[in-house]
Amino acid sequence: MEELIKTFHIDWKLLIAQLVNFGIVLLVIWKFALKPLNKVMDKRGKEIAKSLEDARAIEANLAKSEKEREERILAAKKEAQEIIETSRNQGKQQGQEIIESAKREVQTVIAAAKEQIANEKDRMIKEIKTEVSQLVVLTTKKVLTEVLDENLDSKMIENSLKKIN
Amino acid sequence: MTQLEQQENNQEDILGTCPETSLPCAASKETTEVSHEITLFAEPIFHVGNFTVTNSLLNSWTAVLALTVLALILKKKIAKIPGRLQSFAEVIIEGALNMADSVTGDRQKSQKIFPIVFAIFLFILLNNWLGLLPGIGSIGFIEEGHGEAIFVPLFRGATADLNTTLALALFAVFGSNIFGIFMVGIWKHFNKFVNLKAFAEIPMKIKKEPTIIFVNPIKAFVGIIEIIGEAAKVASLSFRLFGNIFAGEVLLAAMAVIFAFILPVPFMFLEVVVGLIQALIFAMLTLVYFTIASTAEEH
Repeated sequence: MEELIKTFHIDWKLLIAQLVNFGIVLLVIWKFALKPLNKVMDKRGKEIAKSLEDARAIEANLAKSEKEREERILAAKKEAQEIIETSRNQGKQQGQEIIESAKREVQTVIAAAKEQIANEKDRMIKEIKTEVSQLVVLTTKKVLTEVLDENLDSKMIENSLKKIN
Repeated sequence: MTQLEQQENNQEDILGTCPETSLPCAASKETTEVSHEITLFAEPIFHVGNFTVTNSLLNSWTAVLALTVLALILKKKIAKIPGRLQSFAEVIIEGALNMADSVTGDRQKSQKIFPIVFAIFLFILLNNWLGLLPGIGSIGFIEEGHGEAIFVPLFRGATADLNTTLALALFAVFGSNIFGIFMVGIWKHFNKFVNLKAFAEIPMKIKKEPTIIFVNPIKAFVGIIEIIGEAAKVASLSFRLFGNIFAGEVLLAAMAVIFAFILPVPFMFLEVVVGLIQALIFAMLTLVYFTIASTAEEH
């Protein structure tokens, strides 16, 4: 040991001095280089991870909104189709109804006209009947007064009335 | 303060011992008979009180200064959107952290050990490479005494001095043990070395497994060996680094003596690589020691 120390000039003071030197290096490297560098690197790593995450979220959102938009457009198209369909149906129905009601009206009008005609006819027939009977009575009166006696006359009147009736 | 004083003193020394030329004194080595040998130890440059400042300590201070400046510049430039320096540092730190993960297998544990290991790596790397710079080991002064003139380089790679490597190795081994105490608790950590638990277990489990009476004393003995192992760690860490870097300097000096131009260049590159590898090995071994110390012993 003695020999070793003598050969290599090992001096505890120098040893400590070198240790102190290394200590300074360790401290400086750690405090000034590694620590802040690590901090920055960590921070950057986290930021990159976060921005990647954000980008993914944004992309997902975009896809979602795109899908939503498409869906909405599709729904609107469908709705429009439906509206057109219903309006068309409605139009058709309304037309039908109008036609129907017109037909009905015509029918009623025709019916009314027919009834009136029938009534008219009846009345006319009645009138004609009374007129004819009066005429017959008159004429027979005239004839009978000139030709027949009272008996015959009334007999004939009765007979003829019966025939008429 | 001391650094400034010391630098002034250096200049005085240069001027004082080498007054005839303002050139580096290495140039004058051919003209006068100066013994120019590489010593195993760092030479003292000057004294402050009874504290000896060696040339390797000067180098170490330079490295500390350089790293501090670098760290401060980096701190000033840290921003969310990294500049060139910051992204470079981030790439290195990220890579080193991944490498540490492969040893610890746990990012949280890596984060805890990482500053220590990374500081060791940077400190050793810079010191290794500083030792290769031209001028370090060749600029110096001539000291006359004991009837002979000895060339003393002003700077010497700090890791080519056993004091530095021993300090680092001691730090690594003691640090790992302290870290172990913090991570697994003092009793468990103590039992890794002086395995009282193994003896305490014998009467409790002897009915279930009678072999325990043979196994656990062996376990306890292994624990004692661990203590020697810790000392061996210090020795291996310190001497490996010191030996490699010192050998590199000797090699370069030898090559320069054979032929000073071109010839040392490939060896220079080799030494750059060796400096990196040795720093990496030291740091990785420290990481491994910390990891081992922080895991509770499996039963």
